[in-house]
Amino acid sequence: MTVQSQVDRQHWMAVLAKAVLPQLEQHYGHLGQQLPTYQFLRSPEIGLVMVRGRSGGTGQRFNLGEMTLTRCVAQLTDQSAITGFGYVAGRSQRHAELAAVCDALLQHPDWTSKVQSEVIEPLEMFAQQRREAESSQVEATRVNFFTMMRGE
Amino acid sequence: MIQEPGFTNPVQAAQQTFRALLVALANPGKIETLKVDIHPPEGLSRSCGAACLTLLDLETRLWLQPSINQNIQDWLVFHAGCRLVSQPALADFAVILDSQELPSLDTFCWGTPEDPETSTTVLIQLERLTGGTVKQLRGPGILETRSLSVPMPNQFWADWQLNHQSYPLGVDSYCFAENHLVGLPRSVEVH
Repeated sequence: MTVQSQVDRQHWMAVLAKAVLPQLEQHYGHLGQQLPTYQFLRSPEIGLVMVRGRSGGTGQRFNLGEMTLTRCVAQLTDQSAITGFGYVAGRSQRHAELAAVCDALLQHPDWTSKVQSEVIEPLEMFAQQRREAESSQVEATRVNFFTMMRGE
Repeated sequence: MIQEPGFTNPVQAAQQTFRALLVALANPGKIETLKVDIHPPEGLSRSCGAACLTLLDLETRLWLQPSINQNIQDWLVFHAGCRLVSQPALADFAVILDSQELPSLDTFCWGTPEDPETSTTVLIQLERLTGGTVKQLRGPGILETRSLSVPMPNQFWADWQLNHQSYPLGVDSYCFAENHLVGLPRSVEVH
């Protein structure tokens, strides 16, 4: 896998994992009926992962806490070399399944552009809008703190 | 990466397999039949594949016979998440697909007098479980004697004498073929 394709894949996997399920479901529905069939290499399963962090991004690694995670691996029936991985936060098995299937389709040469335009781009646009709406809401209540120099 | 799926129904299949493995070890030399839906990669029998997925997890160390192909190795690591070790003596489980090339049993871990349960469990896959030299088994779990004719090399039975005599130390083993399995715990005496 080249560096560029790895970057692309990281990007779409992040979009799929952070998407809201009803929207993902809706956009996935737009892909039509002729989707390739798939089977599970690893059916959706719920588990715990330890989230680790570094204070300030540079310090010693420490365990931040555990979070629930659902994972799934799907394989396209006609192209068994293509496997899609879905790792999503929370307990939604359907979300993990759709993320895995979309990841597999995005690696399929006949489907990649369609899934990009029908699923990834709308989801990304929505995420962007939601981020902007939230930040403008927060911006309206911003409070600035000033510290004064103590007079000597 | 071409992979075969694991258990179709992981919870029930793993429980049924574990039960069969327990029953097999409690009744040494009695052939058990496993009815679980699994399609392991080429070269691995259904019962051996099911036992591997049931027994192995993130914390177990696995030694594979060096002749085992990459496809089987990838399948085991993907579905079980086990760690591979290069020395049989470090392994919790060992998988043998070619019984003729089975290393001597004393190369595996036999446990320590304080922790005899830390020994290696040896999983041996065979073509079939009958047709070899008939052996008489005695020991816990067997009322009088039980006859068994698994086609194992003579060296294995020679090693087994020492393995049995070193009780409580020693290895436990299973033999697999197609969807059948038979357990040979270290407590069993073979004539």
